[in-house]
Amino acid sequence: MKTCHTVLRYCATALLLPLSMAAQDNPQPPVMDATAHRQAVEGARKRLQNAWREFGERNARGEMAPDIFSLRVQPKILTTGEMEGLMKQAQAATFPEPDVVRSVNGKLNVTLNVFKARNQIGSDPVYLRSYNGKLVGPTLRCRPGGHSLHHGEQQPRSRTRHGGCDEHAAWV
Amino acid sequence: MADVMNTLHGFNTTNLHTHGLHVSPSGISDNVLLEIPPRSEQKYEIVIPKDHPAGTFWYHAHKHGSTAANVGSGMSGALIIEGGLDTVPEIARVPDRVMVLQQIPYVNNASKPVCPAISKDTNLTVGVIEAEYADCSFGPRTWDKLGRYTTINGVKLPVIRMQPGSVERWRLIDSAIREVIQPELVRVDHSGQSAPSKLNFHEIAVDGLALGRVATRSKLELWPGYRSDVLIQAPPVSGVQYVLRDARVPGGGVIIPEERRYLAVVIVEGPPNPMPLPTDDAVRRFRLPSIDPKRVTARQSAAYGIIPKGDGVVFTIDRQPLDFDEARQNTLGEVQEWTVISRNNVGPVSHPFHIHVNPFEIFSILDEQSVEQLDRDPKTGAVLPVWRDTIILNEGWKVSFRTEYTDFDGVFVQHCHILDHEDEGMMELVEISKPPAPMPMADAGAMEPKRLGSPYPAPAWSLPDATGKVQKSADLLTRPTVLFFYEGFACLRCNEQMTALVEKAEAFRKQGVQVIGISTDSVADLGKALDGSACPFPLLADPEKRVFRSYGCYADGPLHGLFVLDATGRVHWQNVSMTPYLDVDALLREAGQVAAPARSGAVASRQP
Repeated sequence: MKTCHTVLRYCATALLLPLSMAAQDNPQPPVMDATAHRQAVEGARKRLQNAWREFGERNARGEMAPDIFSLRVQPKILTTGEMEGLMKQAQAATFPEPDVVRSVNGKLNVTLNVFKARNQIGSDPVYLRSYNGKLVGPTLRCRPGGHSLHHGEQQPRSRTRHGGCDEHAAWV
Repeated sequence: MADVMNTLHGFNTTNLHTHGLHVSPSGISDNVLLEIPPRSEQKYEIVIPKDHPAGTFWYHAHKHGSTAANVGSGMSGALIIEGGLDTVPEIARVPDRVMVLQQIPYVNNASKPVCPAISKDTNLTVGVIEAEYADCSFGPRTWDKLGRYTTINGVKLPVIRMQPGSVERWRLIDSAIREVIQPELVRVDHSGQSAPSKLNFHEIAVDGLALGRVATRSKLELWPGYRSDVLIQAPPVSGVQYVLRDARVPGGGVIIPEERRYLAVVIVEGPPNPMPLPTDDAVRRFRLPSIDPKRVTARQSAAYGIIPKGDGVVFTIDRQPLDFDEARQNTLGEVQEWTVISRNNVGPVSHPFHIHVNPFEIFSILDEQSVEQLDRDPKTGAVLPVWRDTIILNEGWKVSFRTEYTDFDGVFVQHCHILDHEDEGMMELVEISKPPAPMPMADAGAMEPKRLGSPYPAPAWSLPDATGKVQKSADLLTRPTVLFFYEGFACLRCNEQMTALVEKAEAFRKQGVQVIGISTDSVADLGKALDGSACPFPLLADPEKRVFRSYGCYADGPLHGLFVLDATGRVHWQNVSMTPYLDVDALLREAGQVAAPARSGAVASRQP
């Protein structure tokens, strides 16, 4: 019904490596065999359900005071010395913007590869599912372009090794 | 044990959601029912309407079962539609920072005391989020037990440098998966400085949608999924420092170490660079228009709740966990009024309500004492409705909003934005169907005039009249109406129909029925109908035939259409055909029956 100014083309690729393929100098979590893994997941589900049951019982008895949303709670004022200590924890001396992808002539093309990547939060190394290997996805900026476009008729599809929406999508 | 579908599962399967965008939920658009399994690829094409509000939206993974794990790992990003507020000079000239707030609940060796799955044999030298540790990353009180830091754009404690007096726009996006974040800007103690002890947030938009004013606040309350566009003005003195601090005080007696509260540092330095803040008048016109309560055609309610079951709990909406075979049914064109609450059987719990595709205008938030919690106009004291796409439901509170289903039919979801609640079942499918469409070409029977068993809401429009003034259905369709579609002044058969309608114009008026014509003519050509003599009812121009299409009056070209609508804009009788309907006396009777209950004050029945 409407003319459209921006088509957001997004290409998500789920690329999840078996953990054993990771390089040796990249310490990775230990790999479990399938049966042990299934049992571990079942165990976590049961503990999570138990945690909810316990929370529910205590909360219903009024033992879990709700979060306090009060403007009356006065913040602690950091001293200059405490501030110096805090600044030592600052991970970046400047403000880090995420990568930016902009629309061109009413079209924005972006490929998001999903894979586990090593990053650092504070001083902790982490190995987490990611968009393009980062801890935050790129900022997508759509600018009104005035182009009138029709919605494509492409169907969902999967691919094996080549082709697809971005030839540069790497299988790393 | 709840069924496996409503558990944290399938962490390696993902998909994409464009949170807050008013776009199609179908096909390869904002379709969260798609699944992208490992080693496969999915193309999306999301068409953003030309008149889409500009603002701060975001995208994130949304596969049921892995949403918390994916988003909690950092699979989210900003999606900004430029324009709107960006064009206000006081906003256009200032630095524009994207701030994706994250609470990434990884477990590692240091988590052993609070995570039983990490045995003495496990060696987690790197932090991970995995299903076998799901009870440590997700669930009640896990965030505070893990002791992690809130990050911005993936970084712990970023440093922002501002010149004295300067202004910045911060686009805060709360992608945290379960806890509220309550930012405040608190000065670091410096003796001799005259700078204020706190900096204010001058909020101009929430959830990407303009407030229409500049709301000055000393603290924000950001629930998972919320956005807040704020202007920050540095004090006029150099050498002063502030910390962006989370003021949340968790329940259950948990004490948060002070340093875990700090999100960012603001250092004011360099030469003064004073900048003005915009006035309310400068931003007012960017707010979405309010929905007139008189236009409401349907009501909905939803109650979010955790319910004990067996050895655990179930996460529900209206006491049912997610069932992919059930969808809440709606019709395109409806204007709905919703009441949403949080009602749990495990003591009080808060749930952020979120619905895809269509934003909503909240007109009331009542707390447990029925005290209105929405902002009020500082001058008049009037409650100020607010447009959002996500809103917190506290136990015992009642949130009421209106929403309009325009443009997009299809299946999407509403859910709790505490994402492990969502993965565990606190989600519901919502379906918007097209209204029963007239079938002009399908068979001869469909071409007969038709009184409908169940009236449906007429599609909305805004079209120019012969003077070029734009007329809106919302304003005009508040009385019983005969709406006729005609091909234009050059069509002789149309003129025959119009002449017949003009002759009976007074009879329609006496029955309380208005007549409106919609033509394929341009504004300039509208006046040429009736050989240029004045028409006793409004004629509207639809040269692009969009409204013709939305009423089903189009099949390889425009068709003739006649619709009888009641005072709430619902279609009771219709005729769509290759030839115009000329039995105006019969039309007068039909219109009179539709109008009769409106005159007597009754609504339900058209039959005497």
